[in-house]
Amino acid sequence: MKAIRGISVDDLRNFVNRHLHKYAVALVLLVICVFLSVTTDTFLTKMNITNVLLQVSMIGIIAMGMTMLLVSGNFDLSVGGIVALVGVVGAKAINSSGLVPGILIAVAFGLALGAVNGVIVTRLGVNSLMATLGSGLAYSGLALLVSDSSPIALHGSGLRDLVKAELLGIDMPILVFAAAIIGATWFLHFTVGGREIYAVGANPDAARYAGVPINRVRFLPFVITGGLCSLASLILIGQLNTALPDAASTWALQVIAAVVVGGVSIAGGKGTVFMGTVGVLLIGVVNNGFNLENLDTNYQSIFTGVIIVAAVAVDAYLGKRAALATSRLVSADREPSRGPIDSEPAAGSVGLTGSSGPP
Amino acid sequence: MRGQETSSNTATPVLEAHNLTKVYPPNVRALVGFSLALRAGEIHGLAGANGAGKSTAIKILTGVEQPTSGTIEMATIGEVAFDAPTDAARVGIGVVHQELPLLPNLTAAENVVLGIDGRGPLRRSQRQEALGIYAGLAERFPGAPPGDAKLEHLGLYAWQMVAIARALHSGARALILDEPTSSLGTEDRAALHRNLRSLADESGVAVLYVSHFLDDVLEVSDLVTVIRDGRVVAAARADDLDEPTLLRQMLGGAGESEVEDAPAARRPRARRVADAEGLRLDRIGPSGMKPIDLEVGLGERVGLYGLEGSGAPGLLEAVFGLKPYAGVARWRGRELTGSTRARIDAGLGFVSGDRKRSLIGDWSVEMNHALPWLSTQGRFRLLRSRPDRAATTATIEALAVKGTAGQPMRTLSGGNQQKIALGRWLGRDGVCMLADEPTHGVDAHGRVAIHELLRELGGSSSALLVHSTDPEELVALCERVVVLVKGLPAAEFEGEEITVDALEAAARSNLDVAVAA
Repeated sequence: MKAIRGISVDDLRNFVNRHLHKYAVALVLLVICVFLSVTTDTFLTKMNITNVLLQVSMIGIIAMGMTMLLVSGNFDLSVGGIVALVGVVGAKAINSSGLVPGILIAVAFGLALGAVNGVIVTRLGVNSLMATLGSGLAYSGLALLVSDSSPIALHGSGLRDLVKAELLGIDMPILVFAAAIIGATWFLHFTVGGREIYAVGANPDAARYAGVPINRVRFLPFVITGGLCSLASLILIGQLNTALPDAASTWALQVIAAVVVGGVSIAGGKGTVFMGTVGVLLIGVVNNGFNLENLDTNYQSIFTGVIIVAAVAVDAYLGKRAALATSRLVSADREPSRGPIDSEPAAGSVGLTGSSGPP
Repeated sequence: MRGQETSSNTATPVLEAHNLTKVYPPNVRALVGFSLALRAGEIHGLAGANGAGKSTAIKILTGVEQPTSGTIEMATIGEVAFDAPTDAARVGIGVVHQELPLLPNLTAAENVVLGIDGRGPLRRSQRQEALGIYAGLAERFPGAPPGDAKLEHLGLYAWQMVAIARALHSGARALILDEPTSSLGTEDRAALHRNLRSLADESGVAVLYVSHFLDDVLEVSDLVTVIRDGRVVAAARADDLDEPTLLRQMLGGAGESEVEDAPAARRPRARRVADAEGLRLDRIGPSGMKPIDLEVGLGERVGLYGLEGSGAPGLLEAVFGLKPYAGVARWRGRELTGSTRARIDAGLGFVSGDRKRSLIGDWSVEMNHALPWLSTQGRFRLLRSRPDRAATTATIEALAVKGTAGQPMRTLSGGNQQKIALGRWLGRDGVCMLADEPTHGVDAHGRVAIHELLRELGGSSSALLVHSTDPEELVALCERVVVLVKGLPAAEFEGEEITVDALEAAARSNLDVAVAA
């Protein structure tokens, strides 16, 4: 083992193993971006970058809420339904009572729909997958009912102008996406409430025994996601100047796929806003790359599917290596010899060893 | 009740373990050079204190874990190596665990045949056949349940009979029983022992009987092997042993000199301040339990002793706001109401022996340390990591924890994890600690350190209510012990009256009364 200023090759390898899994997907994104920049003239232009960001902005906004939900140990399959229902209700509200009241009504309605999901999951104890599958169907049905199954055109152009507006040369949807990233980072990573979400997702029992109100903690991400869905919905109907009652039907899976590709764990307790954002951008850039390279769009879904499975598999593999590297690091710090009297900790300790057979 | 004097020592062993050693990384030797021979028709007792290596030995013999070195040999087969428990079952090693992996919604007969010979759900004709097979096996056991009885309606003794029948049906020549009597009443214990004896005498099965109840081991066994710190320290005929001898062998010198863990009664007793100011439970009855009254004075350490099913853990959880209950609980005169959060703010703390319930393994020590105090601040407040680090470092120093604040929790040893789980509640005045098996899975030294901590907790403004299924723990910790049987206080001991024997006797004798009633 060659040592460079006290750091051995093993130490380095250990360091890489411990931190690689956090940034693996970001590295893949970087590699793809470099590849597309080199092989095409168009990728690294302001117009194309803006294009990619505009395309992913709505999915990305919702993905910030979904990241919190996954970390808290839940899912939301109803986001497509919320987007559609908020769209038609918001369009009607804007048409009848003006732009600003209409927007406020739409956002409040989105929060309320999220709250309904939260109540079903935390109060009625329904598994979030089934609860939001059901509520999503109901929301989509309501959207068709409210709109008589036909598109609702906006009378004025107020919302379209707002969505098309730019600030410092950046389009409004991208600004909202950026604001969602900043807001989610602040809440999830820097506040007490965010830490509680991690606790509940990582180990609900430990959270309960430490006095964390786990149902209240689980409730909030549903509401936040509902609110973010309404923002995405307003952008969507602004872009089209029309509310489509059957819009966004595939968004739930797109959003979850993006967040999971980024490295947020579906098992709860693990993942960051950074990972969710990288996942969204990766899916956007890959789709853009297929267009720029003039590849058959049929390959696009095949490739995206492969990426999703590969990302989760790689994450599991690297996660294991990281855990191993950490335990090596720590065991190296311990005194070399400990008596056989320490036999029980291995079985009784919390951690990756999991349950150690029948008690 | 011991069988006739057989010359079994000359018989070829059914199962032989040679020099089994198990080392867990980094350097924990759970089992060192463990050898054992099980002979047909013989009941072999395996005794040892908590953490002596009994469960590691069982895991290796049943294929759950692989030995670091050493071999296992089966009669007529030769040397065997197991990758999985199914391998051990295939060569004829049956095991009856404390928790029985049977299906409550199926009948006794179905549980015996299911999954053996690759059987799935049974068709009608097969059910008749299963009943026949079961009847053949169960006739050896008086009191075994009828073959068509669903297990969900039956008691633990019946489950054990079914589990043993199942092991025999799958061809077990060697049968391992892990703590079979820990939740049985006296009647059922005697019946179990009779059945094991007839199984050995008449069917020639070799039995390994693992228990930390010395009287049970001595009563049923022909031979006894004692392990301590992973090593075999004695092996003798049960006739030549008595309980005190066995206890000395089990504990070695550790009981008296090496590890200082004197009974609480011998220590100066903290003065009890007016009773009303401590923890007072009036007619507390978590759902499914009978209401009980209990008082813990300020500065007092009170223990709850009971076998499994005593209801003590549920009582502690109820007081901590984790379970609904009827009645009124007060701490220092204030009624405890509402959520766990509110009770923590009122001065309560909880430490559980099941560390998966109290700690998050992937989180750092300091994040775990701060967890109970998170939601005392507003949800949208910023996290403050500097005070957390300072508080954690203070606990690490005060409790001599081997570890650092930034280290992941799961990389600490069990004892150190438990010190953090306990220490995080102690940074304030007037704590009422509720402890449920506080040293479960902790090594001997960690155990003493945690006991010391809990004893110091007394002070004049704090109180401790601790439940343990290990009577020695309560002898070491408590000034008063209430024995719970089926959710009701059955006996109370104070000071010098608190002994292992007294607690055991109270918990068992009263169990029979409660069952009969």
